[in-house]
Amino acid sequence: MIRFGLVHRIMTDALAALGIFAVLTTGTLTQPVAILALVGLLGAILIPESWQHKPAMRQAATFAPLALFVLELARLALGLTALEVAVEFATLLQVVRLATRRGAAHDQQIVVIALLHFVAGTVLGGSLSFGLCFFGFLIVAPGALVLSHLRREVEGNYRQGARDRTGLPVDVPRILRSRRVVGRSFLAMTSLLAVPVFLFTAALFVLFPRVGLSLFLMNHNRSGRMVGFSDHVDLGQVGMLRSDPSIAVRFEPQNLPADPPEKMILRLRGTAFDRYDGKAWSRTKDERKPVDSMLFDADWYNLTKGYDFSKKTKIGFEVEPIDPTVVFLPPNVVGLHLRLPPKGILNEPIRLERGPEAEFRYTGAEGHGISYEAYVETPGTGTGGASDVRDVATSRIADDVILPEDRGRYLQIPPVFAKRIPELAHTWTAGKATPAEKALAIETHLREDYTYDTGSPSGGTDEPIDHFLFTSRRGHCEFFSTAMALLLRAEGIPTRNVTGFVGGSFNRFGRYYAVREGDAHSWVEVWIDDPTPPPPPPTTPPRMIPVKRGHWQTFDPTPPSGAQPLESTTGPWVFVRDLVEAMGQKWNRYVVGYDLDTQVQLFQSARNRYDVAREKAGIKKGGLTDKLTRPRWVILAGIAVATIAAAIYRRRKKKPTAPPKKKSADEVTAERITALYKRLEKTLAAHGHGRAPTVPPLKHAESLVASKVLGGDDALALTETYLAVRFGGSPLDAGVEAAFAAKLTALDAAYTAAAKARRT
Amino acid sequence: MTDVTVLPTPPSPPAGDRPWIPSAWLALFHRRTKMPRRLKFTREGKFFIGITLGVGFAAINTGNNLLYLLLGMLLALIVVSGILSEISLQQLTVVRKLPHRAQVGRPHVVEVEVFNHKPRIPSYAIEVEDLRAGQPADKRCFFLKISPGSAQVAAYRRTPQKRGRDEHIGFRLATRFPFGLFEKSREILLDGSLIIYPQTEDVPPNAPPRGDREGERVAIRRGYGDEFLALKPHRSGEDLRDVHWRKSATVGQLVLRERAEDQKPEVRLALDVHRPVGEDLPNHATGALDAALAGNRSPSLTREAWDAGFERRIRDVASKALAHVKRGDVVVLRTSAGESVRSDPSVGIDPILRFLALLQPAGEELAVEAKPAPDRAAPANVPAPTSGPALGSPVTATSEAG
Repeated sequence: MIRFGLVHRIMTDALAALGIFAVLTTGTLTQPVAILALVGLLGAILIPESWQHKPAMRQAATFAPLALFVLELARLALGLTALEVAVEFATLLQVVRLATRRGAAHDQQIVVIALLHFVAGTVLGGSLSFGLCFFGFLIVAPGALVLSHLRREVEGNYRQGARDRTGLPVDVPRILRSRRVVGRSFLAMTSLLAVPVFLFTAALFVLFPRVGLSLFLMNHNRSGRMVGFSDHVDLGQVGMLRSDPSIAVRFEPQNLPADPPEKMILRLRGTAFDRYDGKAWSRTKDERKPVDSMLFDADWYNLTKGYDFSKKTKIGFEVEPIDPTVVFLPPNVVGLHLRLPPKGILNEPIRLERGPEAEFRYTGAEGHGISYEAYVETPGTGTGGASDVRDVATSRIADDVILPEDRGRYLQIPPVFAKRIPELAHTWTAGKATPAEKALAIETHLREDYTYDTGSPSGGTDEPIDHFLFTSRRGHCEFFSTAMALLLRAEGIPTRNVTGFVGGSFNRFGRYYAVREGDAHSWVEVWIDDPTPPPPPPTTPPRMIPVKRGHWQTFDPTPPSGAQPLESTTGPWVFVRDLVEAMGQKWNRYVVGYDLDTQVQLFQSARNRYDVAREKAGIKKGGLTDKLTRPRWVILAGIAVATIAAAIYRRRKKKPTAPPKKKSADEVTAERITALYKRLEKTLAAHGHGRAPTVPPLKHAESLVASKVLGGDDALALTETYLAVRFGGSPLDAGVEAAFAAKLTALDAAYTAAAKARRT
Repeated sequence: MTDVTVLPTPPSPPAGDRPWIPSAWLALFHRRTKMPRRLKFTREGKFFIGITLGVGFAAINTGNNLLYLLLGMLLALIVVSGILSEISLQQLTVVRKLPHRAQVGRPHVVEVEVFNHKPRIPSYAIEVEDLRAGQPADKRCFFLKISPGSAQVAAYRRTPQKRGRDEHIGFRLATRFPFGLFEKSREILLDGSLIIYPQTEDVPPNAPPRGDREGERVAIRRGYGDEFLALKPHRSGEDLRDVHWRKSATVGQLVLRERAEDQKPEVRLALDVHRPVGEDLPNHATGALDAALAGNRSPSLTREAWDAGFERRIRDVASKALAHVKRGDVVVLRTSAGESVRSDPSVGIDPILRFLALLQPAGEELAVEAKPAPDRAAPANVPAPTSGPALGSPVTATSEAG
């Protein structure tokens, strides 16, 4: 048995802690404030209950919230956003209230603030960690609410000068110390309340129609995390992402085998750069244009012209919230189908935009991730699970060509460019005739003669590539790709530097491949001129009819050891990580991403399964059985059966259905006299002289006589008759029974007459 | 001297004044159509409903699934609250234990016992209001926990402000369990009646009798008192302890002292119960309270003032009667309407106080509600005092945690 007050305190603390955790999962609080909140929460929980009645704590209870309010106003004036200030205030207010609580009213405030924390967590966050907090809230909330209410009732009813039966004031602290109020069964019951609450919540969540006004959608990053994907490449800064295990992209190839490979290396192209200034890559052009979707469906985009991509191999992608909102494309992609969330009336639609260097971004869902299906032409390329990522792919994106006036952009070299770099290029490409052969030669040299190292010293030098090629001879992927691009440009071959991800480790729980931030990679696309370019008609402006006279081909000069995913795929840590990540994906897909389409599909699926079951049962269409087993009739029948079952249950509960045993004469006598006595009790009770269950019949009758209640003597006589027959062995013949009944009737008549006299 | 008069029952109103729907039918309709449970929002409940509506509105307007999840949880808590409060209220029976007597201005205790007939489930946070006809339910008992198959007793203390019959009509069982969001209640009909005696004050009794005076007389009869009445020859069977031995020796036969009856003075008290009728007694106040208190009738007396004076006279008569009974006198109270009631030390003051409790002014349509007791007998339904004439010994409100 546990003390009532202690259980209440523990449950309230748990609820408050879950609320604060829910707020922390939103990522709205800065790290120092988050740490302060956690430390404060721990301290507030550990403060002894006896301290809460000290004068200092009482003063703190009054002034600390005010001081906190003023502090937050000051922070608002200093430039924090109103949202940050509000969340900070709500979090720290809970800490203050926990530390200075005194009595049931404060505990109820804590419960209310915790509830508001969950509302905030729902709106501002929503990741799996919030889901876990929510699950904990489901378990703890019923018990905490019950105990909080009981304590408030105790304090409200017993602190108003009430006295117990001994005449002493009711001792509220004694009740709070009592071990009789709350026992194991109580705790079990309140915890088990989570089951019906959860079931009802789940049922309502699934069944509530996802149709509404949708005036606006919460445009907030649910996970509180953004995938870092740089919009430029700086050789002096990047490279440390290789140690970040956070998931950036999940992909699910179509028709996975039953036992899929643990690694499936997929090259995901993000963005590309054409200008190098000696230390960093950037883009010369930044114009973006919306991509025209297909006519029959606004969510489908044909990235190549003339392809029917609906029958190509499909790969599903889920990109975590990312900045910038780049759409990562696998090699040989020909089309995209965006899986769009419900759109608010006042929200901008999610559209696909095309930028320079065949880069695609999405708009209208900034701060959110995106899901899409990519259709690839040659599924074997780049998705075959090869351990060597040196796959050669060509871009099939429409209009991804070099116009004559743009060719110079891809041959640009930095102002400070050591002469020995072109010399090295000449050396490596000696004897190679075509651009492809030259590119292959340079790529081979870099992969074989240089070492992958994320801690290369070349990044801090004035000429990183020169230092990389001739001094350190080690570096991360961007050194390799930049070096290859510059070497090829020195040879007069147009190139561009591409960044994206290369990776894919299988998650056995979610049955998808995870690409992590540590799989960020950089490589090179080389323009390979068509050997037999058809000359354009001289009268046609080249801009009007872009003629593809070559194509972009991918080369990856980074040694395989550096381009492989670094994360291990076995071990207990991987097991736990995969489990958590899969749960996160399910949470995002089936809870956060549950929409009208999914709902309709769910109901349709249930109906289809039912129809299949009917077919298997051999029900012929059009017949009576078919009509009677249609879903609407089945649902109505189910409701009717449930109603009838409930009615039968109530009747059976009142009347035991066990076959009646043959009763002995004594049992029959006992039943008859008991029935008569119950009539007497009913008569007495109807006129204000009911017998308390704890008072024996004889004592009750004697008390009626002692009180000189009307009919008290008769009641005593009848009670004595009852006791004599029931327990004394006296016979109950027809005469005794009739006399008993007659006296009972007379007693009732006397009471009725007395009541009537009183009324008149 | 049992000249008890019961005024005739007032005649039924003329047919034209009767309501076209009998009140019994209305009562039956009310009983049939009354909801078995009543639900009321608490302050916290209103707040909770506000949050729920807000979350629902936000969920529909944003399409945020987590808000739907939260909405589901909030609605689930409401549903669970309804079910648990229903379980908590089910299978409870209540019994009221009224005191033997109660008096205006003196607190008395009413015990309330609640029995939980559920075999396994306790009832939590049950509040019981004792309902009285025509009066607001101002007294309630709280039961934190009533274990399954057991009973809990609590009590409330009440100080009546008005004499008469207190009709208890039932109980209102309410609970805010489990979350304090709503107060669900149901009513249990259980009649009970308590006669509230008029207030009494400490007043001195009238002076002891000195012969015949108006309202007092002394009669000397044979009896078994302490006083000697005469001497007489002893007869067989008489108590030898009363033999006057000296006189017996003188006359040569046993002479017995004859005792006088222990004669207590019979104090007669009178009470005017006739209220002036018609235009002599307007309803609006005219400031004639002093005259009313003095018992005078004045054309300018108001109804309220006369009633106040009537109550004051009842209080005075009750106080005087109590003082005399305490002294051991026999008291006979006679009203101007002809009713009378008698009390003596053997039956206590209860007959007179009960009579006064139910006394109504006469002169209009009013009558004494109940027949007063015949002389030398306690009226039915009124218990005789068991320990002196003191009424309603001070009690304390009892209230016990479960």
